[in-house]
Amino acid sequence: MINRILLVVSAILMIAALYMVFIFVPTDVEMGVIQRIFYFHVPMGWVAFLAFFLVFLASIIYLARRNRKWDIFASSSAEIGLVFTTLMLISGSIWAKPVWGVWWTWDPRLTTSLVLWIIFVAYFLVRSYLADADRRARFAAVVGIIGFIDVPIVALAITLTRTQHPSAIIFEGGLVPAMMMTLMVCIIAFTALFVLVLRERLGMKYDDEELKKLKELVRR
Amino acid sequence: MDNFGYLFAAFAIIWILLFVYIFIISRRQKQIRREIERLKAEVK
Repeated sequence: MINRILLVVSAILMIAALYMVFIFVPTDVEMGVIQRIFYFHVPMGWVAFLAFFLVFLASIIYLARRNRKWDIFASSSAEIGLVFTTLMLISGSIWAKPVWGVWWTWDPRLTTSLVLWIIFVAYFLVRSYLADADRRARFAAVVGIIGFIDVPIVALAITLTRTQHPSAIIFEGGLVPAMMMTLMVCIIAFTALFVLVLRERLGMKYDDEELKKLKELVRR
Repeated sequence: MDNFGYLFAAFAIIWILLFVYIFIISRRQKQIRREIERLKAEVK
């Protein structure tokens, strides 16, 4: 029931977000229409950071309590974080081509974002290589905690280093009210989608656990 | 500046990948639930 409500809310928010991005918000005078990627690129980065923060918290709790449900929570959140980091990197690359003239550059912000993506690919490699469930959960938790350290580095890369990437205009007041409002609607829409997908993913993992137990029972 | 092609490509890729991901999750979820029901019936 909650998931159905979340699905309806996410769909309405996404339609509102698309309307605002393509019709409501004014075109940026410097970059033109391509700047509209910003309204999806930033929320996807936000969702990825939120997902990895939850991985960090769940991993710490898992190591402290050794309860399987926190490992399931961490791996579900990490998967969604990885998907959104991939989308953030792709959309950023497509935005970079007409603005910077290249698909990719080894800029501090881009490089640290790619490192974050690689760390969470490694997180899933660790999970797939270790057969023992306890060892797998323990090792993955450590990678998840270490991986999250890169998140503040990615966030601060635009303020602490010389970078081509646009600065933190959201916090510097560089957006006109219509642009700010559009960005906020997009962030809320993507956050709602994240909560929905996370709940679905968790439900699936719990079902998977139940299936394994049933298979054991049938084998006996 | 006319960069509609890039804008279209970015949004198309984002939505296609998101839909594919959600589709894979929901399909796998249905498979697992079907198998659970089958095994539960077998256990009974």
